[in-house]
Amino acid sequence: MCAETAPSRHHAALVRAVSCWRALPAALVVASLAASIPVRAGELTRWAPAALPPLSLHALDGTSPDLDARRGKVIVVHFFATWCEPCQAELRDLDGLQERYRGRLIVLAVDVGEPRARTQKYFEASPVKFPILLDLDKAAMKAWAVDALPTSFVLGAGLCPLWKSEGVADWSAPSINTSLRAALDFGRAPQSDCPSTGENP
Amino acid sequence: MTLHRRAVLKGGAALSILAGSPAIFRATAANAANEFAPKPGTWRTYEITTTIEIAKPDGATQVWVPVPAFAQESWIKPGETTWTTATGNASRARDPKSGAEMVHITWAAGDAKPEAAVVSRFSARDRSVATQKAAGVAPLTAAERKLYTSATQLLPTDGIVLETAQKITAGATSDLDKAKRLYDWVVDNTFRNPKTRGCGTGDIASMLKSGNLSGKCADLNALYVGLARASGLPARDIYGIRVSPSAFGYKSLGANAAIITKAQHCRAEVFLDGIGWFPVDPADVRKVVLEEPPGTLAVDDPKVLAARAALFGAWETNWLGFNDAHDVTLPGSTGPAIPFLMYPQAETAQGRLDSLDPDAFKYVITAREIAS
Repeated sequence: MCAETAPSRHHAALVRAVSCWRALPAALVVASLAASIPVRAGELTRWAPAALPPLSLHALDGTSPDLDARRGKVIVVHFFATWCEPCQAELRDLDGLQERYRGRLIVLAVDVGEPRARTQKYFEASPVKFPILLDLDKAAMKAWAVDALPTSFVLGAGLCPLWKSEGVADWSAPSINTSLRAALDFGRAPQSDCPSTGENP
Repeated sequence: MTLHRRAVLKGGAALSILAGSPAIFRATAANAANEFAPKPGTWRTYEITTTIEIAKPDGATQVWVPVPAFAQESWIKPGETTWTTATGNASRARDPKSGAEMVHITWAAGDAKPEAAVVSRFSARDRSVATQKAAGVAPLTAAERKLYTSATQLLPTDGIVLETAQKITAGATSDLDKAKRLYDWVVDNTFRNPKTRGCGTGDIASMLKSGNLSGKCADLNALYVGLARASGLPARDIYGIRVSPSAFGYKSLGANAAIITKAQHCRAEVFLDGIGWFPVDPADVRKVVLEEPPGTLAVDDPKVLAARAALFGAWETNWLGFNDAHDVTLPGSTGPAIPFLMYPQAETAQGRLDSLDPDAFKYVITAREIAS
């Protein structure tokens, strides 16, 4: 059995979907996963926007990371603020997540509505390895329809919208990692971009 | 989102006691702890001085200092504001949309020592508003009612805010009943978080969605205002700063030194037809619980009970209210609007400075009482 664990009854559908995912075409696996994850605070739920929202922001280090240049990797776009206490632990978890899937998954963290000076000071004291984008006027927050912090989005290797998490996600949870590995393996498949099943994603 | 039903019911029970004899309850609780019972008395006049000294000038520099602009004949009168700056260009400014008033100071690029001082005076006296309706209380105009029931960037009145407000006020028999249920819910379900920077941010949808109902006044009292507006009650935050110790001996509810740089405090008002603007301060109840010596008081400690009873309808006005503005555009700024104007703000070529970090900014605020 290739599923890791079944943390709760809510994950029954997920476990059914992942339990034999290696035997299925990758696109179908990702689509199935996206559709089957239950809606629950802090967990991944299916995310199917009409179009991928723009993300054009300056980073704390002066660069301007863009999504397109990161095509080919699974991307976690994470909206947070330094004042948000639950966000602080999640930033550390996301650092661990990026390290766990080094070179294949990257995190882009978006600090919402805070001055650069405050963000700079925070990350000098609590450094992370991923870029910190500055959404000074909350335009990105609006474009991505984020209405509470923290909120995270997972994009597949072809910049395909996959999942969303409202609230603090447990990035070490077996259920989430099973989903992420499915997305990572799909991205590795030849000629893969986005799932071609016609389903979303 | 989990609505704490027990707490709501508890709040409802407390309400039924209060509804019968609010004045008696207030007096009984107040007697138990240093008579914490603010009521209109002597007017006191204060002078506050904000001294600005930009620590790291870079390019052209701008500063915005909030000034007393909130006026209500019964309890607060803004006075004169003056300023001095050796090399800057200063003027009084107003954001026409939000109504926030400030002194705006600019320095040219290359100015190595951007410094200024802004001195403001105001007079205030304690408040206590009766819960009985009275004749002659002017209703809000349609425009005022619209303004004070509108959503702001951080105070949405739909979604989880509306849903929460509806649960709290279900079955309420009057606007006063709604206002009291909301007050009790905020007191019972939130807590003051000493780690929150400044007065907090006031992102009430995030608070409710995350279930993390902790923070300081800009969070807890904003939650009250947002829930009230979502319930159809006109409500407003008033952003200000504490200027003197509490005359009732509450160490946690006063500015206990001449330097008040970190003494900012915002309060809430709800408008009740026939009663008028009604002061509340659930955040200060939670402050008493956490900070009043010896600290971490029980919710049924006499000092907490006295504060809780008094702060629904009364304020001790050892405090200056600057404005009730939301989503303030700083004139001449290249940065975004700010949710509220309670701290000095500044911009250099590096962008907006951190107004919650006065030592790095840098600014110092002092207060003194002067003869009226």
